[in-house]
Amino acid sequence: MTARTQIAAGLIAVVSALTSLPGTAQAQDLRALARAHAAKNAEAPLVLTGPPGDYQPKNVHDLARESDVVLRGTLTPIATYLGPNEDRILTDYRIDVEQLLAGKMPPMTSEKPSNIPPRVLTVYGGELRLEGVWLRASDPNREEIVAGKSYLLFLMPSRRDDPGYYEIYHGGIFEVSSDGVKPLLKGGNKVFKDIAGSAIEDVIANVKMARRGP
Amino acid sequence: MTHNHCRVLLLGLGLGMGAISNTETASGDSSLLTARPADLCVAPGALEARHRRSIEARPGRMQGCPPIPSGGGEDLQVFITKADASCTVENGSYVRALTLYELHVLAEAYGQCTLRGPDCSPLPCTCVTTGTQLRWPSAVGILLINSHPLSPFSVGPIYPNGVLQQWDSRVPGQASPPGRGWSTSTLGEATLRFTEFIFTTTCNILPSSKVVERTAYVLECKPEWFTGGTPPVNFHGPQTGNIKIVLPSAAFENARASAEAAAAAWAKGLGRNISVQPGYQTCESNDSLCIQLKNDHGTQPGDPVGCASLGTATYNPTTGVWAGSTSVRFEPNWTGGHPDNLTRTIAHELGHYCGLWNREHASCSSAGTIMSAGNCYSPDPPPAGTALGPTSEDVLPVMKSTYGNQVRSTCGW
Repeated sequence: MTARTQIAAGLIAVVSALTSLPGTAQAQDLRALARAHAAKNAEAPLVLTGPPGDYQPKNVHDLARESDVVLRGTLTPIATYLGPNEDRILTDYRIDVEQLLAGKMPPMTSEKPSNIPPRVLTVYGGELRLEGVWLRASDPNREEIVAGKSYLLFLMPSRRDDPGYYEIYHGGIFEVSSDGVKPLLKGGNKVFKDIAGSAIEDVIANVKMARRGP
Repeated sequence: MTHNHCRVLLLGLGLGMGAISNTETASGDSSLLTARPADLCVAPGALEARHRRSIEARPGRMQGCPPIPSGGGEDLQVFITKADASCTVENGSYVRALTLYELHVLAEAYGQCTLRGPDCSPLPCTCVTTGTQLRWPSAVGILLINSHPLSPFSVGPIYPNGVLQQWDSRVPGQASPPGRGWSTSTLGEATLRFTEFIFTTTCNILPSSKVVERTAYVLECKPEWFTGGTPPVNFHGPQTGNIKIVLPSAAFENARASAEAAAAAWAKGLGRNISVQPGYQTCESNDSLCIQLKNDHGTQPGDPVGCASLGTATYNPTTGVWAGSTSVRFEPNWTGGHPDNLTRTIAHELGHYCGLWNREHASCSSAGTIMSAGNCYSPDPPPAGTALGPTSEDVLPVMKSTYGNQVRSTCGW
């Protein structure tokens, strides 16, 4: 690359940086959309769907080995808020652990109650009011989470990078019932062929076996 | 004696005239009403003979006893199921190539024709019932109309087993053959035209046929649509308008050629303008025809699994049309991949923008659809034959369903 072309490339980079400054109208800026919507029809909610995922089949052994934590528990919504880029709505659920099957979680007790770290699952979706407008978002990849139901969860650390915050790994959230475990993931019966419909006891045994290693 | 005979005869003729006139009025033939009494004062038997000769000499005289139609109505219901009865093919839905389907009909046609003839013994002549004909569906023919150069094809008729005014090929013993099998390898739109042929009887009770058509779209790979919401809608970009893809900075310049190739492929498939804008810019939040390249996939909480994604937007809850701009999101380390992989990745995400979901069914391949999984940033070229843009299997579900009849049912996979 010649000096002249290097300068030209540098100028292009500077110009492009100027044209994409933060604060300009970015793609899917929910706050800007809500503001514009409020001026037209504040009564009607704004609805939003999440990005479609590409979930390739995964067996219980790989799912368990690749997850940070595997547990059975219930979920209770505690907060719904705008994501860091303000392009999505996120909801935090408190995880009440019934049975920790694999991995480690922060302890639930501390000498100083204020130091008790949370056990939180963050997922796409939820409902909140922004700029005078209700926004409703849902994850197209899975069914809604129902508070109080028992779930089998395969978790990874949250991308917000806070201790005690988790996200679902590879769509690994299953409703537990007497009929067996049912994936919430759309098309989950094909993605989790050896899990869907199995008895929870069998899945737990497989998870523990996978985490013990060969 | 002769006088008395004539009086009796006149009395008899009067009854007879009255009886005949009811039908004559209908047929317009009143010649019998014009007979003079003098003509009737003839020897016993002579009048009957004269009338018989008159009727025989003039064929039109037989119209004096026309058949009487009664009733009517017809219906034809069509049932198309997969041969294993696991699903039903709805009109405008999707079926799988080289898969056996059963075609059944419930045919109905009602009405009857009362046949009559003159009874002139004893005189005067009266019309009497000589028989009854039923109006009935005598056959249902099935024709396949598709894009094959030899189309249309006869799938074959179905006949009732006997004279039945209502018969159902699904009921054992009512039809031969008991339904028809249908399978096709010709992809695309296929119309099955069912024609019920109706025996209209001597009374010619119309109509003589009833036609029911069922259209299905024949694909190899199971179609899937990007749906959600309550009530469910199919998310998609606006049906009209020029779609623009924008690069926010020079950092995305390596993706320009791939974006142009993906845009051109979709533009050709959908028959509309989709182009990559020159220079660098960002989308306005509310511009649903604008798609921006980004490189933050996988970094945000709530991001799904996959090597890229469509940054979605708000949508119209009634129509599913995006209400804001969207984005094609690469991973942060997206550079260095083979351009064909990048083309396929962008075309795949544009498929989501157009309303398609991932197509991961075993019937799908990377050659058959752009919506199967790809290797987004591999430096190696994709396998030979891999689709780099939408195939007809991708375009059809968008054009016929998302932008068409909104039918999203499938049968055969």
